[in-house]
Amino acid sequence: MSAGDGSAGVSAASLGRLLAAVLSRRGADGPAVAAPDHQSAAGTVSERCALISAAVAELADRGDLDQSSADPPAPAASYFEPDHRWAGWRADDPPEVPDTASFGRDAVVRALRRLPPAMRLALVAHDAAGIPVEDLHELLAGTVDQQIAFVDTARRAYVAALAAEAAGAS
Amino acid sequence: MPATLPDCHTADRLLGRWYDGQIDPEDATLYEQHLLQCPPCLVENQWLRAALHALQDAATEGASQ
Repeated sequence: MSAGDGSAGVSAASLGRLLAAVLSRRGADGPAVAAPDHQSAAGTVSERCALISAAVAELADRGDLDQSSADPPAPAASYFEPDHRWAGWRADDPPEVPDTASFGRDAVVRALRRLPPAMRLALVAHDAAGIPVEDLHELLAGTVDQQIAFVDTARRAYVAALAAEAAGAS
Repeated sequence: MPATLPDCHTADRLLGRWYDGQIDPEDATLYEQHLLQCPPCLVENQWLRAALHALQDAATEGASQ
């Protein structure tokens, strides 16, 4: 892998500066949109989607948009066969309990960069920006059911990537 | 008659909606009862919660810098 190794990328520490640059750009050459004040920092769903889209454009302009998708999604669990008395239940051993101390923001960013861009976008929009799945149609194509399934897949891939990052760090 | 516990296939499909709070209370109860019977699904649940909390923490820290 890795999508992150050797490429420019965006560190977690620069995300705030990136958003500030996006906001100033929107003010400079985009529609006249005031920077959100403290009380309305979250904005409406459409505003937040527009902000994320603008952030993606800013990353692309800077050459920092990592388009690679490296690792495959999480391995499938194994289940007991249909003729077994425990059919449909997990047949594998439990994974190790997560060591959350290794889930620093750098590990999170590296894990995100292992994901394909569309998964990364869905995950950040839904689980970081708090955009409901029903409103992801502003960013992603497909029906609500498809978006729910896609977010689910993205979450699993992210968990697997974070587990790999945490294992690599230990 | 008590409802049957979901198997792991079904519990796996409920995990995301349970995390988002987009699940019927009865299904949530059955899912949580499944977790108490099934260490692999319980640990999967812990992984998802820990990983998404870390993502939210990272986003909050990044935005505040």
